[in-house]
Amino acid sequence: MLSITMEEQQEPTKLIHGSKEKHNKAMHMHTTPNPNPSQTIMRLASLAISSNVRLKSSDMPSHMQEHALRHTRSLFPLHHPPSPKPSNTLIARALKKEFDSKYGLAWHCVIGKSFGSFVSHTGGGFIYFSIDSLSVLLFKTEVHLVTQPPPT
Amino acid sequence: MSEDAKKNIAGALTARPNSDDQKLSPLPSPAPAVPPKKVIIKSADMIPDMQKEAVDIAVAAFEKYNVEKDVAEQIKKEFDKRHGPTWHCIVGRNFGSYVTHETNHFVYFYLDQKAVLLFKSG
Repeated sequence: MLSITMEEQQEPTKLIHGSKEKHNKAMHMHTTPNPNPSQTIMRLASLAISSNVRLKSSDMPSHMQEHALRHTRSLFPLHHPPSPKPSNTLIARALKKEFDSKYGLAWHCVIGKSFGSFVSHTGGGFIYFSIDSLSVLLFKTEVHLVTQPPPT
Repeated sequence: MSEDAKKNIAGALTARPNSDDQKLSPLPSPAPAVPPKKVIIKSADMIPDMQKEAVDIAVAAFEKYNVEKDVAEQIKKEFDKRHGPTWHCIVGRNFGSYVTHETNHFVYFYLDQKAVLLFKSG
């Protein structure tokens, strides 16, 4: 497990990152060797520019990063100001469920203008980015099979 | 397979006060008492004792720290210590979230204007 702290304040534009704290790094890193790293960086950069997103911190394979950015952008597209913007909760739900179905359980998503967090995540399952004026935190934790029924 | 329940939390606040710091007007009494924070449990899947514990730890954390991530860190680590890993904590004025949590290990509450989301997963 990795622990990452971050702070997003609306008034100060600077993003505060706490120190990373390593507990137990996940045994399996899902990052596959990238034959064209510069090409990947270029694609992510152009995606960021065209989608008005800003990647702030991530521990995630590049294809999953791209997926997160694209999917979030699709939830409230640019150039459609008349349509009402979906609530943060609905966006968080949609993004979490997308990643649950594509990359396995269990993902968690937090979206908002002003929040601080301290979470642990599995290796390769963390991304923190901003889109328009919102910040998005998406991370994954291990799911353990419940061997005994929970107390009633 | 997974018995985790899914919680849908809407924590977005539309009205934001201009000042983040709640400035108290000076009281005439010689020993001004700090007014107790208003606590509202918005949603919980947690035994009452643990809920109260979460609120108490959060109140203490807000008194000790000013930065939201430090408050979140304090709460998460305290719960990791007391109730075993792995807990996650989000603190803030404006956020929406959707998470998967372990049964009986989820609470979402307000302390004055700040929302606190605390859950166990993993």
